[in-house]
Amino acid sequence: MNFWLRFALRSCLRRRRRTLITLLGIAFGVATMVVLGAVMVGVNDTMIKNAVAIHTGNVVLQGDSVPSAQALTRVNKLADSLPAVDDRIKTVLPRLHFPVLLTADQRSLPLNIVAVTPKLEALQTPIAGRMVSGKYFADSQGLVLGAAAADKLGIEVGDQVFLITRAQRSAIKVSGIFSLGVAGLDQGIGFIALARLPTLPAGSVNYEMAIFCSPGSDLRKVAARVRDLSLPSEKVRLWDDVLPDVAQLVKLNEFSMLIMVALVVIILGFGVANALLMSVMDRYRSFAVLKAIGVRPREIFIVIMAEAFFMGLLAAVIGTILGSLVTLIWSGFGLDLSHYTSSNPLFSVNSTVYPRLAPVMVLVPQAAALGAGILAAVWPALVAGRRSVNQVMRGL
Amino acid sequence: MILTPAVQIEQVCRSYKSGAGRIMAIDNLTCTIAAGAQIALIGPSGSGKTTLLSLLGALERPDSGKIALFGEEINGLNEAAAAVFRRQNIGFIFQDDALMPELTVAENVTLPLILIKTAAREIKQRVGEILTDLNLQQFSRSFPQSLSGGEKQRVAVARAVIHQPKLLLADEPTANLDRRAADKVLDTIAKLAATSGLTVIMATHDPRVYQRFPRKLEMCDGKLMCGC
Repeated sequence: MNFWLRFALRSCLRRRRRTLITLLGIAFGVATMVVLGAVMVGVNDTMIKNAVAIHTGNVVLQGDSVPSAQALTRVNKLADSLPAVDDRIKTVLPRLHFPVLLTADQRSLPLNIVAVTPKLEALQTPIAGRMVSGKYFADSQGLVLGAAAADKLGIEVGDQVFLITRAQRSAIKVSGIFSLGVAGLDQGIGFIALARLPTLPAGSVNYEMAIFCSPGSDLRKVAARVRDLSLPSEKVRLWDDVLPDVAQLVKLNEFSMLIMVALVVIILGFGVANALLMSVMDRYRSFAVLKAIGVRPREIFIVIMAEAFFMGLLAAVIGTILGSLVTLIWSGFGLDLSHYTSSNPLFSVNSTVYPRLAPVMVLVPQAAALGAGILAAVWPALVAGRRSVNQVMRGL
Repeated sequence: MILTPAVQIEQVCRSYKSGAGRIMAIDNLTCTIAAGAQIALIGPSGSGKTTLLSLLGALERPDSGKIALFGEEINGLNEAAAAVFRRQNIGFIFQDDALMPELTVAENVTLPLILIKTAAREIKQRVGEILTDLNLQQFSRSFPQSLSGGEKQRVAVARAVIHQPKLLLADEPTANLDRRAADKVLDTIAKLAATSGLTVIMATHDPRVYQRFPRKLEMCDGKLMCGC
């Protein structure tokens, strides 16, 4: 067996130009798949990061509607205990939601108020970086709201507005205006500091703990640990459960990539089959001689398959190195998609995609190229093995 | 004691399709060749020499008739079984040297031994001996393309006999060589045949070659004209 493998390797080396061209073709295909895969992973990363930063965190603990004082006690307790539950948990952000009618002069607007911890929130969510007027909680007693809501009410930073709930009406100053470019958020949401909540007529509130984990964490395991701490009335959910539209988009993206990989693999397969078939046709005479001295068709088949394996393996390695290098360089400065995503809420916070090498997207092109190479070699190998010796002997 | 003949051919026919009709390459041929014989198969081009060698080498099957080599019938063997029979019993030398360009001289000579699963130590010893005998040891690690025509053909001879076959089939092995190189190759074959009792059948139409053989079989239009 070793002899035939050596023979196959020598055959590849002897036809250097053809081997090199075939090899470069496969390597280029693999590199393309690696880079495209990394871009796809980067796009998904950006979408998920944007979505979880604004909405849920990677894992979210959601509590039923309870009086605000009770909710406040519960979230403070969870804020203390959750980080110790699992070392994959990096940040825990308490958020309390309640609906209000926001009024200014004669105008009014329904708004969902979120009570947050400004310092922690500023580190994790994009709102602080998207202020168009005022500063993010420069006044810890103030209200931060979206630009669309401010426009509708005709208010600016420093103006006084009223929050009306079923219970009562409270005055609050606008301390900052943000713009995310997402209509639902710019018009429908406002932030206050958690410390301000006791002075407001919130009544019953929904509470949640947005849990942010280190990249690559097994979120199901984190969720399981958080669940151990939760009350029966609380739900612990992963981001993809809370945001199924984003999760579906990520899956769609992965499926598109799969189709792309399949197409590249098919093209590679035909290229390899063509190159090997040409190589086999060039060597009919050699194969005839081998068969004449007693080499079985099966052994000739092994030689051709081994040639394809060697070329596929080397090309896969070269292509992976090449693709990884391009990705690493590219990931340093990213790919600004703002021109194409300005109206897309999933890119509103950050539209720069940083290609990332994910193990699967590096290994799949390698395996696919190797598999395509080997599969493509079957036909030329059968042709070589089945060629009649006598037919070729007469041409010797 | 009755010795089994090397070759027994009984009423063998072999034809090929040619256009609308068929060409009879071997026409009802019957012949016996004793073990250890050295035969020159002569005749003009198209007389059926190469077809007969192909049939004897189990490279193709006759349309009818029977071929037995050393008592074993070969016309019923399938391709894989024929390959195994060839690797154990037959050595081939072609008009062209037909060496593997991917392999060194030593590796080319080694090939038949690998096919019959000879131990590595024995391979090394036998290859070394035959290359020395044929004065080719200095080319052991060279690739065939760096050798002259005569040297290549001597390597081909070494490859054909290294596994000590019972039958050596040679199809005009000196046709592409100059006189000196041809003589050297023929001398080598004659020496090997004499020392090992090898049965040699060599197709040729060169009088200088066939005159060296004690027995000649002349073919014409697929039939044996004389000598059998």
